[in-house]
Amino acid sequence: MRTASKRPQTLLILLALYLVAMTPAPSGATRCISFTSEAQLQVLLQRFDTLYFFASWCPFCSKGLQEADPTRTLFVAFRDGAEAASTCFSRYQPNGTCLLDPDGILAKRFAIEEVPALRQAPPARGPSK
Amino acid sequence: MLRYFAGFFAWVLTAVLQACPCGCGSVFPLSLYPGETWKYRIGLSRQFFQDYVHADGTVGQDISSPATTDTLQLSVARALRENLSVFMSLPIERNSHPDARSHGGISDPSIGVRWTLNPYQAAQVYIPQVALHMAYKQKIANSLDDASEAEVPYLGVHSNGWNEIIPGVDLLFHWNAWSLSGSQAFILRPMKVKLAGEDTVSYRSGLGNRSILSVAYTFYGYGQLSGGLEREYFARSSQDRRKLPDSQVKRYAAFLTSQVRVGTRQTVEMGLRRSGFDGQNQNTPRYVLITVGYAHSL
Repeated sequence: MRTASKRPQTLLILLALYLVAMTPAPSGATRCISFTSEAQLQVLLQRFDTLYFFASWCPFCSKGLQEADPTRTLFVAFRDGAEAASTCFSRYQPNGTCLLDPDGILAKRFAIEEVPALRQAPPARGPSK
Repeated sequence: MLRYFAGFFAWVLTAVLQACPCGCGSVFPLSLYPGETWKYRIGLSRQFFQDYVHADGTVGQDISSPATTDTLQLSVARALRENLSVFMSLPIERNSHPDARSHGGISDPSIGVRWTLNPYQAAQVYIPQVALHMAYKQKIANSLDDASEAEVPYLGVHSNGWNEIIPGVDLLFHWNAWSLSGSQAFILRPMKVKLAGEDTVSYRSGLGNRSILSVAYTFYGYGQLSGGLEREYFARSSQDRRKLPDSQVKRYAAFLTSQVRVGTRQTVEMGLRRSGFDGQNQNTPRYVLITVGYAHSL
């Protein structure tokens, strides 16, 4: 009887230990930068011709993140936290450029409702490449 | 007789409410992904009752249950914050039997809250998504308490007769297209008191616990195939604080569900569930459940 009552506690302790053990220490992750203005986007679009929308909470985004060409692709973290998106991004795409879109403003502009999603970037306005 | 229907409708809360948040695939019920504010599901199911497994494991004819139960289940989930959502579910049933007229009615509604404690992170695939949830089922429909022996089969029964508080925890792992999930919930049933002539009789159900293990494979952009096993156990119930012998309920079920993406965040699902067939079942009806559903998240 005593053994049976202790079993859930033991399982919870083991689960907590597992979570602590598997949580990676903070590292020098490639930071995703915040989307601030249309002007910022236009500057970035002069360098990239593709946008890849991803999220750290999306199980199907990592493959696309790994395979995308970082010299041509601007990565956009869709509805994601800065820390989570940066950790995910630096793991799968350490050399790319990542923009945070926590409120889905960029996603709305490019008609993105689900991630992962790949979009051809529109020609940048303003100074030519 | 009460024990016969103990836990009988407990599967109601495990009914799926899934859509395509990210190509497709949520092996967990009533979960909303970031960016989703509403999710609703309409489900139609037919439950084919077959026979009954008694406390000693013998199988006998189930004369008390209807031959089939058709259920229309309406469910909705609403995000309050990114990791916090509430949900409610309302089943509407029709019990039928070839030897009697059918009877329809609203079954017990459920409400609940779900908190994703540790969301899934693609960079940390060995850390599971952890979600806590708490649901409450309110008995509003007629149960066996309200039926008399003369009414067999009990077509007017649409409730298991208990209010239920169901706290639980879900764990979810994703490895590319594969998902593995485990869920553990407890089922608490507050004591109820019935009038027996001039006296009152108190009934208390034993603590219930439900474990679900499921595996899913997602065909990204097209749909998902999932299957799993469920075990439900209720300890012995008591009457006037006296434990009733052989009143424990043990039920094993297996299920297979396929979901097809039919639009942006829209899913059609088909499911098959066998309950009470495999394992050491006790005090439970055996049935097959076929489900068709449509879920849409906004």
